[in-house]
Amino acid sequence: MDQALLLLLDATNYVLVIILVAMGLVIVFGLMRVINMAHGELFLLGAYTLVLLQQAGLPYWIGLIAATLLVGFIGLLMEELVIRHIYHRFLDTILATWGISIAIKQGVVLLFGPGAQSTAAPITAQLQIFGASYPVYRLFIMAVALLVVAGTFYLFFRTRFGLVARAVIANRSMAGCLGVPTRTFDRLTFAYGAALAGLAGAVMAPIMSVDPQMGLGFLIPAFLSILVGGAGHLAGPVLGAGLIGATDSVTAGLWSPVMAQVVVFAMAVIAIRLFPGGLIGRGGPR
Amino acid sequence: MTMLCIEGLVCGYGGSRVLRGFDLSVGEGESVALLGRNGMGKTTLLRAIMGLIKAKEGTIRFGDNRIDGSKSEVIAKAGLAYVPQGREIFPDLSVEENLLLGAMGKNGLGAAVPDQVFQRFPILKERLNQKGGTLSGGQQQQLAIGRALAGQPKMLLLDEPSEGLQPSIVTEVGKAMRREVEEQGLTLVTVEQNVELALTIAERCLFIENGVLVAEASSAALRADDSLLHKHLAI
Repeated sequence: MDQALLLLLDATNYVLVIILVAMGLVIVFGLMRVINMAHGELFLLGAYTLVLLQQAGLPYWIGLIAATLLVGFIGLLMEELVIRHIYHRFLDTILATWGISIAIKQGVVLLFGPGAQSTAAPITAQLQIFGASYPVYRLFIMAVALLVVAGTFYLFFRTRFGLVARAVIANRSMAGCLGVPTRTFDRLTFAYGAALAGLAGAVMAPIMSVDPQMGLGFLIPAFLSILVGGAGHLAGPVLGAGLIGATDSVTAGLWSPVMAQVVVFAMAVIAIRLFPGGLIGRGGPR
Repeated sequence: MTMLCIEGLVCGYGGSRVLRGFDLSVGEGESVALLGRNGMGKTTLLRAIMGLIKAKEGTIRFGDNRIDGSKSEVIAKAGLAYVPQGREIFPDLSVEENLLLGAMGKNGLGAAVPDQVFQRFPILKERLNQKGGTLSGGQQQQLAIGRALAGQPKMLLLDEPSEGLQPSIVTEVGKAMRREVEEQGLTLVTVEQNVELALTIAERCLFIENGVLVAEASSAALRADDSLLHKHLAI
């Protein structure tokens, strides 16, 4: 019984982490129809920013905020310098962001070497749950993920900014004809998605090996979540991440990590076959 | 005073030329209708004015400013509103949100929907929380016009308002637009196939054929003598 509860806690943790990483990807894809292959590297930059600032002696919390803002700003630059020239050229956005991803990754290798950096978690306490000890920092990560999901939903569904942003997604040229500055919304939306990647990287850094490949491991489940859940609505990927993450960690816990991969991909294939547009949402990219 | 002045406008899609040297002048507070058969360039003209397609040659002036080459949002902020063919309301957003977008697009995120919109189309007030997509065709048309009016434009471009509507609703929409022109001083350009509606809404009718302006007459003159209508619309 205790074992099952711990497994459930681990599964929840993994699901929330995927959602945290996927959220920025979803916003950029769902709103702007850009598949950002460099999302994993924005995650990476968030983690390295935190590590660097901590090595410089600054407290963790400042590193967290700085990583979010800095990566958001890098997203803004990326949008202005590259992405805005290739909206509506779907394949080109994949190639261009892939190029950016390689450049960032190699830049990090040049500056910091290919080896792993490590950083300490700000909270090292362990909580006794179900007779086992569980790191409090993992609970903190879960709380951050929940806050990000709640905050993003609030921003897009309860504020006027979100209403306009959704209008731009639904019908860009009509929104423009109503006077909406669609470019400003492009910039802000992309920067928001990037900032979330930076935040995710900084939050995850203390419990991961911070190396130039760290973005990759989360990018695949994040993309799978979007495919399974659908990008038509923000709730789609949240549901997708729930399914993917839960299946993965439960299968891995009960069976083996290799079988978990097999089961997850089989499930994704079946889900996409039955619901080509995702479980929630109408269509995805056109 | 001239509000909209178009000279020698050439535009089209790809290599084609839909408008071939189009001239148009609309005075402040005036209501004009553009008549012509399908494919003559009426919708293209409105899209060009709104900056949705680029002019290849010629100029478009709104008030004192040249707007050809400007972005749609700049044109909208200058005081032009657009109700496209097919209405293009936001079907997943509520009536209130649709109207708010019209107000916010023009006047910033803090804007409110002016009461005037609900006075003109009371049905919208009753349906505030309903999704735009669930409204009937006539109500959607009223919503699209209401959304445009929510930004309190100086000039409204209306593309085929009668399309797909029952005759009784067409009459209602026509009367509402006429009142908007007479009471609020709105300048209106309507593209229409429905001659009766065009004559109700506009004081002046222009005939467009193969991308150029070929004739014009006052609505009163057309009611007295419909030979121009027969000649250019084949009715």
